[in-house]
Amino acid sequence: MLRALMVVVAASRRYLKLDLRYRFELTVNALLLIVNIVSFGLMGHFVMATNPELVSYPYHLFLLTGIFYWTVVSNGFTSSIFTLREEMERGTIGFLLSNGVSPAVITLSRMITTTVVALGLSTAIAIPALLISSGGSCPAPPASAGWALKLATSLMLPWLFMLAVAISFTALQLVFKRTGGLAGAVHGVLGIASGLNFPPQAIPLLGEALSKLPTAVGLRAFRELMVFGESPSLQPTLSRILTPLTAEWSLVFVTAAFLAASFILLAKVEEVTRRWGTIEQY
Amino acid sequence: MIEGACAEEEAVKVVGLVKEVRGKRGERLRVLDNVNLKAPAGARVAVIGPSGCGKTVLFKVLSTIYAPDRGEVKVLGLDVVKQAGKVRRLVSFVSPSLGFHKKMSLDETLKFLSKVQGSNPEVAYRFLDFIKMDGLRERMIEGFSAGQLAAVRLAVGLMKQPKLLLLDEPTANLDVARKELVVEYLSRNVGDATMMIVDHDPKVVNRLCNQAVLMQAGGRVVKTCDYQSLLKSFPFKYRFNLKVYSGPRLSKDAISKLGYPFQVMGNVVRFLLSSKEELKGLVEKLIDKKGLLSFEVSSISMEDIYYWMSQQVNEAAPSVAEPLVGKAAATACNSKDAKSPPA
Repeated sequence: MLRALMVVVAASRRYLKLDLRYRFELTVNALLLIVNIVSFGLMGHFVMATNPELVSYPYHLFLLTGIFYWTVVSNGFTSSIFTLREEMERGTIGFLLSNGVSPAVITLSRMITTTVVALGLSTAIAIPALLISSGGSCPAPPASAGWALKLATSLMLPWLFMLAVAISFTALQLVFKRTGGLAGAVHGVLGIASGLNFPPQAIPLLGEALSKLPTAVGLRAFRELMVFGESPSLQPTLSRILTPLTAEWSLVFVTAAFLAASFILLAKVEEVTRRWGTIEQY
Repeated sequence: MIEGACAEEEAVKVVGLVKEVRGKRGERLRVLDNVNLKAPAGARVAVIGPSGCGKTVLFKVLSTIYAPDRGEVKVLGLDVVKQAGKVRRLVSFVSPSLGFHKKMSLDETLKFLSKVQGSNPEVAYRFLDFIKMDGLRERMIEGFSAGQLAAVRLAVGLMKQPKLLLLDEPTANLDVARKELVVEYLSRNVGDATMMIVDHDPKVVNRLCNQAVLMQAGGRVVKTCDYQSLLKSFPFKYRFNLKVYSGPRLSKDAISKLGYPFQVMGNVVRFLLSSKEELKGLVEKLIDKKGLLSFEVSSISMEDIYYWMSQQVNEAAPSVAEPLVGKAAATACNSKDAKSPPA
């Protein structure tokens, strides 16, 4: 376990070093974030003009907090899909396997690195954008250590949920090698279902169920904390965590269940592809 | 000492190994067919066979990258399926397909890979220094030649200081001088580790190995034996290398009529002779022939046996050397030894 952790740390540092060597890509990602912020901000104003009852606070803040959140929580997912493919093409998978390192380590390491970079970029760009566009009221000043803890929880547990999705895709890639636009589609659908563009409760039939997704729960709590300084929708007490189908229960148990299931799936797929003789082919 | 690891005779034990890989549309292709072999601890084993006969797949099974479909495979007493984690700590597989990220320096690459292995990068640097590749620590991998990358792969494999070292064409792409240094290093510094090597250079195999596993197309082991008994049982004692002028001065028919098994390699005709009388007889027959430049006589070496064995198993693959012809060839192809499990 300790060695696995050391490998994750070493791999994350390696990916960070590599990312910092591709400055054009870093610049493009920062510019894309700015473009996202501006376009979502503009979209927010236009949508508010025609749908003033959508949320109880300025819609552009709804969108901008969503961008920050989704950039931090989900960028690692898309980068990990490409990274596994790169390692397969480079012929590293066989080496890693023969040294007891699972492809899950590549996924996790890549996600950690991308999230750290995304957090840095988002904090540097999105927070000032929020401050400016809200006239200084957003993000709401932290009221307590509890605020910071809730904010961290609203980001970390959904991140682990996205890790579970990424691990599942790792398993898919070991079998099918290329997954085409599926990862992008899943990423997009999850974003919409989590409430990136509008509250998920607005979706007919599935709205209530989708609002229980860990990413949806986390995003709602994150928005409330950033705009109002408190999160009525997330009260992580033991009784609420243990009560099925509450937001807190979903955030903890659905995430844990997905994570466990994804690792079990990956272990099974590794075993099968080792037997097929295709595990390190690309 | 890894719990369960066998500290005694057998480093590798393979019994009835069958390995099939999945091809297009799910069909199964058998690449290893009822393979039986044993390698004692500390042995230096050459795995010889034509391209595509399953040598690399065998190494991948031993290094736990592939799981066997049938049979028993044990490395140092540990089962490669049930105790894969322990096996991985003891085995190092040097594969020519291992790539490195081009935007990292050698130092960064070795440090990262040493963390993956749980090893010390200084071991790799000692090897690289020995083969005169010092001073490259800060160079980016993208600036390395194919030969340098081959050396780095070998360094990564040696860095682990394994109990079983599997080398798949480790000297491919190396220049002559570096190859010599690599062979010298491997012959002196592997210690009591068991080494299994696939290399198409018979000189490398000759220097490094004392055992041979002969495989044929279809993934079957034809023969396993140590070099001493191979030398003793080899039907030929002398090698007679005859250099001829290029061009049709001495035809194959004329050579064939001399009545001794031969191979043609460019403008060299190699005869394999079993006694001094045959040697005298051949010299007498050649003395009046035209088109001859020079000849050289020496005792049989492992290089000759390597070529001979390669020819025996190379049923379909093309060869630089012409197939061995002549009356002794038939007696030398001892079919009783084919496919028998090792003692």
